[in-house]
Amino acid sequence: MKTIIRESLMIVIIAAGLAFIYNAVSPKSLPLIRTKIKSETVSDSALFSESSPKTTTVDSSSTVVRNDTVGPNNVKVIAPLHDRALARKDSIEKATGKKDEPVYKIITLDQLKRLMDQKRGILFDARNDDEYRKGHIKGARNIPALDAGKHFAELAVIPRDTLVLIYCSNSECPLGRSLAEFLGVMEFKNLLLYDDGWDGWQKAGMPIDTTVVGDQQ
Amino acid sequence: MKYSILANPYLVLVSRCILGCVFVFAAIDKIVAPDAFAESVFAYGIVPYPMINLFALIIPWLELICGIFLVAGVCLRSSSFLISVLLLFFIVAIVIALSQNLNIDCGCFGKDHSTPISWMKVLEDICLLLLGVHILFLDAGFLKIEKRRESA
Repeated sequence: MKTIIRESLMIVIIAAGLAFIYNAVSPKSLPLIRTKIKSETVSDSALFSESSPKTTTVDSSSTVVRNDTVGPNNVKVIAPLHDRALARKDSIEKATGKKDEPVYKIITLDQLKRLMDQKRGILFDARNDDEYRKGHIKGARNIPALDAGKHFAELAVIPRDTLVLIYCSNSECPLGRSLAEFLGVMEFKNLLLYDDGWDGWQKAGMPIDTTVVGDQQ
Repeated sequence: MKYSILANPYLVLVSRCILGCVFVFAAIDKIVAPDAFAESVFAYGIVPYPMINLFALIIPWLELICGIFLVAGVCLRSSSFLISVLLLFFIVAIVIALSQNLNIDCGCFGKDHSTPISWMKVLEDICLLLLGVHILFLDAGFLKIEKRRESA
């Protein structure tokens, strides 16, 4: 029994060593200790007063077809960084010049509903494809945060001052934040995260949609 | 000699190959996409938040090494012991998630082979655990690189 425990410990140490070495050289490296990201909320007056939010109003129905999100004056967008580089947090910090300062603000269910009622902004579901298919908020387009790079081309054509509403499963879900940071590096200026996410939406008894928006196969 | 059939060296070899291959297969996807595995781990809500990344990084490598050791016949008893412990942990995790009615991805074989958790998954893991226990207790040292040691 002693031998088994000694050998097992050795195997665990070897596994950990290999894991750390691989993590150090892998393009998809993770920080060893996971930390929660600070976030800021936004007040109703800042969101809904007429002067302050300088956002482009996008009819939510226009998000159905990807080309409709191209700006009115045939906006040409230059990609700030290669999409693979975007996936790394250090490049995000380098690009934004900010550390630990969120590029997005948190909104509540009421604020989200009001924004949607006013047909302001486009709505992104940051969860994985299969969760999105099971049900999502009506009009939401699925941009899974883990595959955000694959959607780079379709995101790049969206005017950068468009109001972007993002949600994930719940406030613990890091995918919404990750997508918001990704969009932040792409220099989107108006990013709002509905922090209670899909769970909060369902708990509030809001309608569930299962039609797929955009070019999902 | 009541274990005579189960202790058949060929049968133990079959157990080793099945369990080893399953674990190697399960490990590769998770090693390639640790971020996706970390999200799966997170969804279970069992591992403490700051430890999730460490867990998601180390466990797949542990699965890979133990899987390779099982097939190759290196440190058989300890690798089957580790795999049994891992399986026991997975079973407990899935049962807890099921009892909380969590509708989450199993994360068992990485993101590309995602399947939701179910009692079927628990049964699968129990079968694998039986294979692990089989190797742990009845390994006859057949087709094995190192010589059999007497257990202390």
